[in-house]
Amino acid sequence: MKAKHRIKFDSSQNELNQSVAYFSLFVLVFALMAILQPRRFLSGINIQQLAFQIPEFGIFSIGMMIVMISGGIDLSIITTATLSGIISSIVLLFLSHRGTMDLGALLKGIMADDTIRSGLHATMPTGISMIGIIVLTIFVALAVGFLCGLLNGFLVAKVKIPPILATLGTMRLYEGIALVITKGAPLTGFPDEFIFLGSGEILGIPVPMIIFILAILAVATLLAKTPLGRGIYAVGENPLAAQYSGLDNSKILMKTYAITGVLAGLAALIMMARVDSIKVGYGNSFLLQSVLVVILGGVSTVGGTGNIIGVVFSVLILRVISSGFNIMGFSNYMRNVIWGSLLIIVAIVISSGFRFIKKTKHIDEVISR
Amino acid sequence: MQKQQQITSKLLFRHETILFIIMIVFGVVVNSINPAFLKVENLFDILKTSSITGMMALGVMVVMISSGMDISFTAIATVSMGVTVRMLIALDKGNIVVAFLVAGIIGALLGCINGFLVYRFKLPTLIVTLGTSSIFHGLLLSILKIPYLYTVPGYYSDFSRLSLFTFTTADGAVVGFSYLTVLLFVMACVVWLILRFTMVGRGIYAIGGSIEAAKRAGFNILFIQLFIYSFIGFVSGVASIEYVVMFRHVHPFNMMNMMNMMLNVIAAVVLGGTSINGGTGTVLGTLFGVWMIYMITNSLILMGIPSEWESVVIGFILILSIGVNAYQKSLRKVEVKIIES
Repeated sequence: MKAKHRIKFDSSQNELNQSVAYFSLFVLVFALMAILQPRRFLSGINIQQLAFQIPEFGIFSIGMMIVMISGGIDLSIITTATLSGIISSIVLLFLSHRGTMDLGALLKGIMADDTIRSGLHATMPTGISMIGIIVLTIFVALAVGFLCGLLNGFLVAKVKIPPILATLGTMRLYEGIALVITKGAPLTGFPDEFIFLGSGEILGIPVPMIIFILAILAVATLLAKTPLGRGIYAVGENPLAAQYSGLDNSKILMKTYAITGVLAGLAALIMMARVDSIKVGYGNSFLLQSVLVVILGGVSTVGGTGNIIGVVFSVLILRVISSGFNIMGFSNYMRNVIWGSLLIIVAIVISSGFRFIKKTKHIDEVISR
Repeated sequence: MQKQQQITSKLLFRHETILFIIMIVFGVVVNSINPAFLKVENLFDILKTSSITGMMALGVMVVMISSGMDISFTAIATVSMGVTVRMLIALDKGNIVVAFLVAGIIGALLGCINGFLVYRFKLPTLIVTLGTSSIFHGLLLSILKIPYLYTVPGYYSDFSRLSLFTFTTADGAVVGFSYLTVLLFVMACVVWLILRFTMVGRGIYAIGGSIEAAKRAGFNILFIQLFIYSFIGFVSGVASIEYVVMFRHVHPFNMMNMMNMMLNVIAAVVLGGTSINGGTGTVLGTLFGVWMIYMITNSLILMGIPSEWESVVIGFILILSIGVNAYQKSLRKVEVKIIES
């Protein structure tokens, strides 16, 4: 009994220490960049750019984190976003342009035409208001993400395909469906009210940032306070033990992947609204980066451990470093080198650190007995 | 008598046999839609275009048998392609054999780094190779600054025209059996021999089963890990020169158009029956997997289906084939459990 308490205390203490460490690293990196390039790094434009760029990448990373805690991986996260972005933007474009064109013409990229865009409000369909259309678009994006995630979850949990392979297959599948729908052409010309989601501001805070913060709070609550959250950790830590302690593993896994799919849909909405277009191939570079960030954030590669604070801070740290390097004139390629090295170094440190923690825990237990 | 029956039934239910039957059925079906499919020139063409993927797939198979995962091989290929072609042009010497060897050696050296990291720090192989792939590619572009190269020395294109034997079809077209295919067959034989008859080969399977058990059994883990990862580096280097031979240019992003290339290779290996958890996998299955994917792509073109469908079809087939496999395995596990209890 005593031992149990002690371990629990230790782990929460660890978590706190970890958060403090990540926070101080963030402050350090930020200060370093500010000192090195005070005028350009701290300029309003740069900070604002950061605030608009972080959310979509951050949401992808949170989604990746959830599946990685459950001991899996989701390679299809970006193409899920692409597919849900494309389907929802078709809904959006079709509804907001109804009466002026048919779907076929819409898909041929006519939407890029400015005259049609400016005439948008005049030709608004009578039935649904703009708010209604946008709500419907958001719903469709999240629903498609949910369904894509559910299929991943089904393949992993019920068919028992290893996550990396299941999501590799669905990655091709979703990308393929998106390609078949659009033939690779971008969809653009969204109404201004929708674009507000990606580039508007409320009280000076960018809307995507607000969405990101809400997503963080939601996921944090989910992981810490709900049975599902604890179930995700349990399945990641030891699936067999979770099963024997009465958890329904496959249900938990299905839900996990579905939540990640919904987050991918959310990221897709922000991406669409920020650049006012969606196309197969957008955000492809986020895939490996999100895995990187999740591992840097302290999530174990075999699942079961990790918390959202670490991941969010490592998103911030990487974006700050990346923006700083950009200002200092480092090429993209050099950044790749640095990120790759960081990944390996952190993985080495964490793996040796975990061994150390495990040892001390064991000693604790022995002593308290 | 009974034993013989057992052997035949075993042969019938092997993954390779099933794949082979599917390939034949598929071929016949496609051929009935477009009779150009089963013509010798088309089949030789499939063999030739699939040789790059096939070469890399052999490497990936070896890594997967050892229950590892390498996603840096396209980056390694890009680096060894850029460095080799540049270097040979700068030295103003060289021929195709030298190019293959140099690229292979560069690839093997880069692979050694992966192998060392995997062995020394016991890191998950996916993470290590994820890191090194961005390091290799980034270094190539930021330090070595390999630009695009659209003219390459003549010996590359000469090799691509070289055929083991040629014959003339009824329509008067000359069809050749490319040396690129020969190279793949030779490499496949080498891998088969290594896996089947050498200590290292047995060690690779042993590591895939259980690394701890392999260590207790006295295998030299360091040597085997280094061998595995430098081998995939080597074949990636060779494959990169095959790329230059076939497409006659050097481009730091084309090979690295890598997500797709990499996933195609991994998909082919998995389709060929290699388990991602290690311990199983055969050369023949891998080759069948590669050809299967190229047959599908090729048949889509011949049947006049728009190329956008390629991803859908491959994704679907991948999920289906792995799904059936995984599902059967999970059923078998349940049976075992029932018997145990």
